[in-house]
Amino acid sequence: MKTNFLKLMLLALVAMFTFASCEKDDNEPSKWIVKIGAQSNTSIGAFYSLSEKKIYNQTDAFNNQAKIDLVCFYEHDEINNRINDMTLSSPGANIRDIFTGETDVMNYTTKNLTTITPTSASSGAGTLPANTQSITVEQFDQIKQGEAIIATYFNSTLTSSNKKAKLLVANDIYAFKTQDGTYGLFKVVAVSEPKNASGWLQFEIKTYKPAV
Amino acid sequence: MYRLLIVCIAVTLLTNCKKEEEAVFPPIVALKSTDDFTSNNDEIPVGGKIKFGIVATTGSAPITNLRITRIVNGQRIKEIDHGLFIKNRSLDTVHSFVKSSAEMELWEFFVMNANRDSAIITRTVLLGEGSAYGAISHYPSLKIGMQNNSQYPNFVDLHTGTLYSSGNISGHEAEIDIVAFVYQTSGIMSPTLCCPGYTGTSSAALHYPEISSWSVRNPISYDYYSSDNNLVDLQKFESAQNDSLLVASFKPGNISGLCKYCFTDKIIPFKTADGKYGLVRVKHADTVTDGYMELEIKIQQ
Repeated sequence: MKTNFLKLMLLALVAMFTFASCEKDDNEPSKWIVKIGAQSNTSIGAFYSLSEKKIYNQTDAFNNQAKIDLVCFYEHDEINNRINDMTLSSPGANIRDIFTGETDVMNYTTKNLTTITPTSASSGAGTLPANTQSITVEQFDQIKQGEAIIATYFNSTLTSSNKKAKLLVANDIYAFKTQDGTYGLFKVVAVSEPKNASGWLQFEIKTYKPAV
Repeated sequence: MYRLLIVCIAVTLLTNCKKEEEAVFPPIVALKSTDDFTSNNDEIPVGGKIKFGIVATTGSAPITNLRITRIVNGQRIKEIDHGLFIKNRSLDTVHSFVKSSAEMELWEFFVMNANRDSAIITRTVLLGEGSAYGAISHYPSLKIGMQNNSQYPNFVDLHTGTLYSSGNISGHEAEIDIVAFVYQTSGIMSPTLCCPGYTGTSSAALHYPEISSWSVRNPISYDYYSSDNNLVDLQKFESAQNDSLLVASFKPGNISGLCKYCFTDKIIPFKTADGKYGLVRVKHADTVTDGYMELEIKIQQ
């Protein structure tokens, strides 16, 4: 009886070791995914600090202006022909009539400008401007954080229409350069449905900061 | 019986423990557009500088090859063909060229990794108005000794035309572009131009052992094909007042850091490590190891 019990235990042990050694490799780096709210979203803030990887609400963002690199908003104004829908921009982009009150970005004393240029044709980007290096979703997914190639997708020759990414939908990819010279790519992962001022935007970020 | 059961279960579990197949990615190649890099459809005058910043990811295996080809009127000119081994980081390199007189040049950038997966990107460069040929430096007579010659210095700094010998080279090693020696090859004694960075079987360090200890050993590219076939006209060389002839003479198809058979009256196109084009005319070349060479050199400023 005792021998049978020992044998059973041994069998269980072998099975346990075998399963334990059968772990999946965990080499894949975690993705940098941000979910940001539009201006009327009461649960997710609309302001993002890349250096801190942190979402701020409007009041806290106002108190940390120098850290804010990206701002999300929704705008669909057919009367004034401001059809931006879900948009990613920055405090330095002169965003008017979106936020209200004393903590409106228009009242910032430090307005970081993140310039944003398209990398793939889309409804928001239209046709790609000259000197644009395009990127596919597959290529974006291959690129690793911190790779120098990230900077090459930013179109530094573009001097207008480079302050916001509008009409964002899943799989749109844009390149950006922050006020402090960090280059990046973001790919839209998802947009809230319905899209409105209470909605949200989810995107994946990859950045590269050249050595000074 | 129990033992057999245990073994069977263990084998079954282990064979079920398959590793998931890893996805295989090709490299990605892109060109820098910032600063003074050449963009697509840029118009550059003949003789003007074309500058590309090439960046590539490895994909699933180390990068092993970078090839840059200039395509003019259907003719493919291989400008760069470098074997590499870049693992766990990006390829990030800058290469400069000179605009030819062709109305349109198509540039092709090819990157391959160890899986033989590759990526290609192209750029078009158009001919701009006027010319951008640059000034040159001219050194009418530089006498350098072969390896056993103690009368003349042995090391040439092409950027200033300064000559150094073993006695005063210390502190100037990084400035040296040319050394000369004589050795027997294919049955004949060959006056030879070389460079500190050449690592072939007849390297400069073989004849000047101190070069092995230099921390910077500049390479140079001699267009030996143009030299062997006397493609550069002496009269044109003598009348060259700008870098037009220097740039046009250099053909990247047959180049080496070693140029054999540099006999008297040979004219050899070259390109320095920092991209300066030039021509060296051999005014005199001995074929003995204690002899000397007299060179006349024209090089881009």
